[in-house]
Amino acid sequence: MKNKRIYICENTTDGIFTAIYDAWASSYGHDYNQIAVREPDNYQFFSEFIYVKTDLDKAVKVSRSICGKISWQAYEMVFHSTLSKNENKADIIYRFLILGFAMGNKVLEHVSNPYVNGVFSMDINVKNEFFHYEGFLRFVELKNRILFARMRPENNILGPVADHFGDRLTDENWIIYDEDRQTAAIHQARTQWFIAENFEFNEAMDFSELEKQDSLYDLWKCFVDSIGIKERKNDKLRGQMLPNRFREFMPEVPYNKSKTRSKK
Amino acid sequence: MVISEVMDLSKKLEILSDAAKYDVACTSSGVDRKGGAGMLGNAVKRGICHCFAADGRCISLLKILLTNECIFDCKYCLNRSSNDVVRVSFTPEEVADLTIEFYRRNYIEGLFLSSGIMVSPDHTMSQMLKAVYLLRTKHKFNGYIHVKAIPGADQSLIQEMGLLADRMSINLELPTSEGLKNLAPHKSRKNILTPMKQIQLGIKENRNELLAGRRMSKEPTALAAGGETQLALNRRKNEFKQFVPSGQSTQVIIGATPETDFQIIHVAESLYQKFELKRVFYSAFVNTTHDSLLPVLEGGPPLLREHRLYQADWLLRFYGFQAGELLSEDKPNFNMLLDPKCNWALNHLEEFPIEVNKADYKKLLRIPGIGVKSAQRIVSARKHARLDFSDLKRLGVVLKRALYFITCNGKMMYPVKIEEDYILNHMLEFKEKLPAGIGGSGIYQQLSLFDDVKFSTFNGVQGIGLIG
Repeated sequence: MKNKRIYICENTTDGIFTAIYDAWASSYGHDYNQIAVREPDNYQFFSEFIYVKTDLDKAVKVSRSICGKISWQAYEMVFHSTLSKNENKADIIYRFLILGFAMGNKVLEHVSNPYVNGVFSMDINVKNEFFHYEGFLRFVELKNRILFARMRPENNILGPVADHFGDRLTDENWIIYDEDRQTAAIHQARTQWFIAENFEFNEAMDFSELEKQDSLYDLWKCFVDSIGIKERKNDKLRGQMLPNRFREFMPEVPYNKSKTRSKK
Repeated sequence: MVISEVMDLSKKLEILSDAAKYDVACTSSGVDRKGGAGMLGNAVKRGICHCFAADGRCISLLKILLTNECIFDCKYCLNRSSNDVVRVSFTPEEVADLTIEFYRRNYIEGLFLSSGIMVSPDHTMSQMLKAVYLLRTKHKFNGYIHVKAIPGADQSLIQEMGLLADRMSINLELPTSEGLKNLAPHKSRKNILTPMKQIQLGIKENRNELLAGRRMSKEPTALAAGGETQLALNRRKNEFKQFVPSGQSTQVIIGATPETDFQIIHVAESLYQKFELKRVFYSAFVNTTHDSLLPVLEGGPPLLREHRLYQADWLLRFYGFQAGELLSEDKPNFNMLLDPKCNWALNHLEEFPIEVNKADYKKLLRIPGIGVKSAQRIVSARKHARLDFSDLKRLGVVLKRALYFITCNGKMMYPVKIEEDYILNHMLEFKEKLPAGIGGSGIYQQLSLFDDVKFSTFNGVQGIGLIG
């Protein structure tokens, strides 16, 4: 009996694409390959780990094949899936691509296939969170008019969010910081933003109530409070539309700290 | 009347946003525009919600009045001239600065500017124009702007505004002209419909000109604000300008006058057909002035009725229904227990059951429990496989509603009787999923792709689950 090969790759788009490239190129048989972004909790019999070294060239080849052999739309969905919080994402994408390379763009119509469905759901989940942050992200103006925002997304959406603000706030200097992943997107006016990993702030900086220190905050809070219609007060609906987990850095709305996810 | 000369900005903001809150439209959708160096902002077609107010409604735009001074005396309005409230005004500069500073911090998607009528409609409109003009030129603001057209303002002002704003709206206020005559004596149907028509024609004309690739050829008429005319002229000569690219909308107050639902959706239908409006908003009446001509609403604002009207509105716009199919002279009001689509289906049992594997898209849309998204998915998925009930569930069909009306491969899900009372009883057993605390989840959400009726892709469609 053949051993199962588990490719362990970096939890990034390039890492996953490299692993897919390697698994494919091995010709070992798709059924015996598996891709994961971290080592499984339980060791399995008859399986070996292969640690993948992220290789940009290989990753680019995979992206190009997806666009060429399937479609741009499929690429976008796969790309979003690589940012997903789903721990099985790498393997789902791999199996989706096996189908996709065989049947082309028609693969997107096979909604009831578990892997196609998996990619669809991850895509929607990532996009929804990204859409939420487009609106719910709050910048604070620091000295020198630098804008600074914090977030704690479930999916790794810093890149798409930075893209959005790169276009929107082209002439501004800004930083968007992902608290859990400790990565920051940094944008200097009229230049391309970039991502800094393991970004640590000076410990002397006081982040508590940072959002409230902005001179505009009081005006904003006053607006949010007065725009609601008292006769229609509806906390339940508000909670549905603006879930607690987005409120951590939105001081204008009540936030329940005890409901936060524990930090990994 | 209390007149306040000096007042700090936050107090003004409080008063003028408080006075603007009864305007429902807060959507920032309908137009895609890239940002770029030298300007601030962009626009996203699906619209973005930035916050939610205590009533659960979306906050997308900085919704304010330029002033709450008003020479009109509409009975239902807090700012009516006979009401004794503190009167304040923003200067156009204040509006522009506030918008910019809020926008930079990502508090808002843009500006929603309305106003009481100060001095005259022309004067008010030109002040509003000044604020919007400052935003677009001095601040190079490229985000979303929604402006209320003031009924009775000069055509040239509306024309000028249309080239700067993304969306314009004129509130119809009350569904019939009698209602308007009683409660808003200074407004007339004609004064409301004339600018609406003008904007509609403006949009059409502009579309044709853009298509033909010609520049705006018409010379602008004199601008009452003064001083800006030449600038505006230069600007217009320099670039293609879109006229109200995101279309126009209007708002109707529900429950202040005795109109029936039938009358209201009929009005809505003709507004969509004759004036090509993007949206009609319905606003449950909140009695703030306690005028003797106004009804006292014991149970608070008629939120459920408002919800039913929005559901019907969706049916008109996206489901291919006609107002006359949903209600009639004899049955002029919606069933409060059932959503309008279920209600229609129960009255037309002869059309059911429908075979899901064969029925065309239009027909699928008429089945309770199947929405735009799931209908599209069915059409796409059944090309490759015959669908059964478990597939339908995966595709997002609400089976507990749909099961009475469909067959899969000739079979119904359970042996049910297709009989009005039987189905009604069973349907009422499952509580309809009304919006939390009733109000309308989804309704105040951004409209995503549905603001411009394109069903070609179902990717990224959100928030339409409300008519299941």
